[in-house]
Amino acid sequence: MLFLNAIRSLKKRSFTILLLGLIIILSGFIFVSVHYSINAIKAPSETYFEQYNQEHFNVIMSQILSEEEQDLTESVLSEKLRSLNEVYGQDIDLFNDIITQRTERFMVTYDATHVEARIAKDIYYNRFGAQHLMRILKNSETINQSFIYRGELPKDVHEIALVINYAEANDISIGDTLTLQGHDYKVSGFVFFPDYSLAVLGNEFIINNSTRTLGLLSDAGFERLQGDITVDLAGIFIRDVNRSRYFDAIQEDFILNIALTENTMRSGAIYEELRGGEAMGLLMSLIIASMAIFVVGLMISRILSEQRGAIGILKALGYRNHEIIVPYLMFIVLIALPGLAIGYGLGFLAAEPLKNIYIGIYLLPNSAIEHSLPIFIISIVAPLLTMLVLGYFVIYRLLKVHPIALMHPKVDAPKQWINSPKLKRNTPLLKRLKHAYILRNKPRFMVYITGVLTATILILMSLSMVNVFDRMIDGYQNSIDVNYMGYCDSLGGCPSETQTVDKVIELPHVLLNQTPVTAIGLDPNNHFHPLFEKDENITYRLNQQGIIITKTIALEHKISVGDMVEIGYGTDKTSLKVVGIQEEYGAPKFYVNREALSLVVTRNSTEYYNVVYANEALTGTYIQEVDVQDIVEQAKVLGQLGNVMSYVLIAVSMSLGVIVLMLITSMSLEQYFFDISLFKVIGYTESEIRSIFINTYRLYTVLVYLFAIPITQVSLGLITHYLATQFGMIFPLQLRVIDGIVGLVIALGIYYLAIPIANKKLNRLSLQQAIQIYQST
Amino acid sequence: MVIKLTNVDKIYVNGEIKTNALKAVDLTIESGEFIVVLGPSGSGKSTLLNVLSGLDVPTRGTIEVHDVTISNMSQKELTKFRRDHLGFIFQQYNLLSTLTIKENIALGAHIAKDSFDIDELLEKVGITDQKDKFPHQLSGGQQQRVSIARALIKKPLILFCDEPTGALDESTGKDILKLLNTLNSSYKTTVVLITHNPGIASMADRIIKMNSGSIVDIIVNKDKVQASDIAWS
Repeated sequence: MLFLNAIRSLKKRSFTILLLGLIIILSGFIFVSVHYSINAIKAPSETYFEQYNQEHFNVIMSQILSEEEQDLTESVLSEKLRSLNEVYGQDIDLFNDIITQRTERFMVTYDATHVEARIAKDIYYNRFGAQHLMRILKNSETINQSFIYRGELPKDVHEIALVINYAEANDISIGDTLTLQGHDYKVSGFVFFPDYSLAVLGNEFIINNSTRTLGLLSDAGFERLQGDITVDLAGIFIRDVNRSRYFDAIQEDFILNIALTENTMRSGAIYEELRGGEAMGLLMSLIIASMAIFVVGLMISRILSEQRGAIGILKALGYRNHEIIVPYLMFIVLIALPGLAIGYGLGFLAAEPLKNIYIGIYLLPNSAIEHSLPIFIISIVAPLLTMLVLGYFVIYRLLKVHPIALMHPKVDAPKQWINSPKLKRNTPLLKRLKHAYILRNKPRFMVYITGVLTATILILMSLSMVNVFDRMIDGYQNSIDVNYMGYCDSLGGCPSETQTVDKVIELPHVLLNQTPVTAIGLDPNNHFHPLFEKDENITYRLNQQGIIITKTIALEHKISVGDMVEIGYGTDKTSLKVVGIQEEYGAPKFYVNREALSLVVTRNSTEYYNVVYANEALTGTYIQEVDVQDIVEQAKVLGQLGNVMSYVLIAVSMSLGVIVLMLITSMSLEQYFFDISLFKVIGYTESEIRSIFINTYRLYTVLVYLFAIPITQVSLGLITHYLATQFGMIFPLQLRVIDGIVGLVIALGIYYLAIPIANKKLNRLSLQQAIQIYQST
Repeated sequence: MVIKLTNVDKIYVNGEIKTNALKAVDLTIESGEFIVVLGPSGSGKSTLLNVLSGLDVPTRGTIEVHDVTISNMSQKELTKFRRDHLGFIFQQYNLLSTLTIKENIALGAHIAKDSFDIDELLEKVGITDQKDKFPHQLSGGQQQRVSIARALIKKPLILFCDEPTGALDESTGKDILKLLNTLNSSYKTTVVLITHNPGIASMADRIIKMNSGSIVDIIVNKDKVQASDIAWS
């Protein structure tokens, strides 16, 4: 009989149960989809990193030779060379000797390590009219070994192995031909590099696997390509040390920076992504599941209070507690199990596309998604058991009451706070009543607060991320009229141009307060690259003693205008004053007077430059020609992808808020059915009743939203700080006034989307039915 | 004349089952009358009260209250009508547990165009001392007095009472009936009281007897008795 009662109660609450089901489905869906998709990447990636010996740390080396090394070049080549690149161009054996000396010195200084040189060339090339950037790597010996995913290693000068993401995005198959610098290369296979799980190349934070990628050439093929090399050291620890403190004191002059893998964006971001993704998926799922569990508890509690008379009679008749409990537990199973099962099923189906999003960005192997018993247990059995245990305690508490007390419940004393003299004096009766109706049921109020707060925080965070990539490039884009950049041969120098060009020096790996950054030498009267501080053109400030830093450096190092910074180039060190902050995010850079920088590079000339900036196509021959607008466009594409993800998150968060608010108002109307009927009978109009029972949620939704703003601000600050310290990346995640306004509109949107059904339910509440219930109670 | 029903039918449809709760009811109630509607369970007396008071609409026929036809009013108009002219008392007192006695009564005053002074009314229904207490602190009879005061506060033309003593013992029930009688006399409020207790009928001006949805008899009571003298059953 009780089971039939339970079924009838279920029918009566079909809408509430539908909403509860949606929450349960959402909770299971998030957990299952995130965990299955991450597990399909995590396990094979961990094996791959281990088998192919992923570096534990990366050493950024000075590309400038030390005095000793310069003397060596003079003794061998009768010419004093200044950079590794120059040596590489003239005598590879000598280059290898210098690198060997450096690696050996490193391993003597840091005897818990083993290091190996990692040599790369960046080349730009055109493919079907689009500019592509490829970092060409040589096959390494022991650390960061290339993992041939399909096909085989390039055996001769005419073969190349590509990253599969790039190949798939460009419809390239094994056996196809790729033309680089006029040479044809046959694709021999698809490859992954353990030190590049993310194709972050160059200064711009652009991840676009269809135009920016990595390739593997044979040694001969590598030598044949024109272009400057960069040489870093990849290292592993060979015995246990405190890794985070091991390199605290940098003791070799050729070392600019040592970064552990987990602190390197290109190789370590995946760890954070997987850890963060799992944690976020679990947290979101737990929050939503907790709400669902609370709601089930509330619903059971409500049904029991409605049926306490019947339960009292059963107890009086001699029914045992477990005979009464079991039907209600069955009721919980009936409510929860379908939602959990659907959530699991949908999550399992969504895991594959979600995995594809990950592997569309990250360069990692993956496995097929398969059912896993632990995930099945966590996603279905654990929440179901929790609901059953909670339900059992709710029911058990009631069953402890004497049968007579069950049949004749005493009316609880009212909560006194609403009748506190102060509140009574200052607040009109109906206003107090409105708040009392919302606040009286504390667990339900907590579910409401949790749901709306979670939704609004996620919405605000998503809003702060909208256009974040655009904001990162806006400063750069606004301050540059350059369409083409020509990178000159470091040995042959720059060709002459008839058109107007700016002579520029670009130097990577210059130390600013001990941190490697890129130095850009500009003329104060340059044509195409003005610098701006809060819309004021400050290019003229590029005098001999001052530098202009980007916002990234200013935020990361907490440097202001007027501060002195130490600049290190090779063995040269000098202190310069910060004379401006360029409104530019992205990779850390500083701008300096070109002639002054030329003197540092050449020691005797103010005429040096290694890049030309032009507005029209260049006529000379350069090692690399870069189409700047193409880079900007690529950054915009990344920005659009980021925005789409933000909008999706906003939509999902909004849906969560709407479902929770619908559920709460629906349960509230069920609980206050008699009071609402009474107001109707007395003659209160529908709008007056709505104002008492529903409209107050608008005020609370706005209040919760306002509360979410500082929480989001603090969270954004922590995330920005974390990314800056962990990866040296500054993301301009800011909550602007406009975001606050849009967020408020969305929060009100949640209210206005959720409320019509409650209004309809309230309006439909039959007076006749209410009267009949009055008469029968 | 305050209420006039002409040929009123009320049919409830539940799936394939049709219940004719009121059948061709004709009735006239004069202003200031104390009417008792008497009948066994299922006789249609509650349905009659519901359609009389605009809580429900008839399937057929017309209802005029104070020369206003309410049987074709929209729900919105009916709400306004109830708000302005009618008061209700139920067997269960339906007081809001979080509000004090005075505040429960104020709920009625809040929507009234013209209302009695609450303190005066509290005095009249005999619960002045209880005004700051909460419903659970009062006896059933006292709660019903609060319910009466809440109905009366907005000076209704007609007071509809649905088994107002159904949950009370004889002594308390008689006290409540006495109060209703007093209010009927002093404020000239028309009272329509539904009961299955035939004893109560002896205090009415007229007794309307119902059975199977029809008025089977209307008795003018020339020998009205005081509430305290009625035979309680």
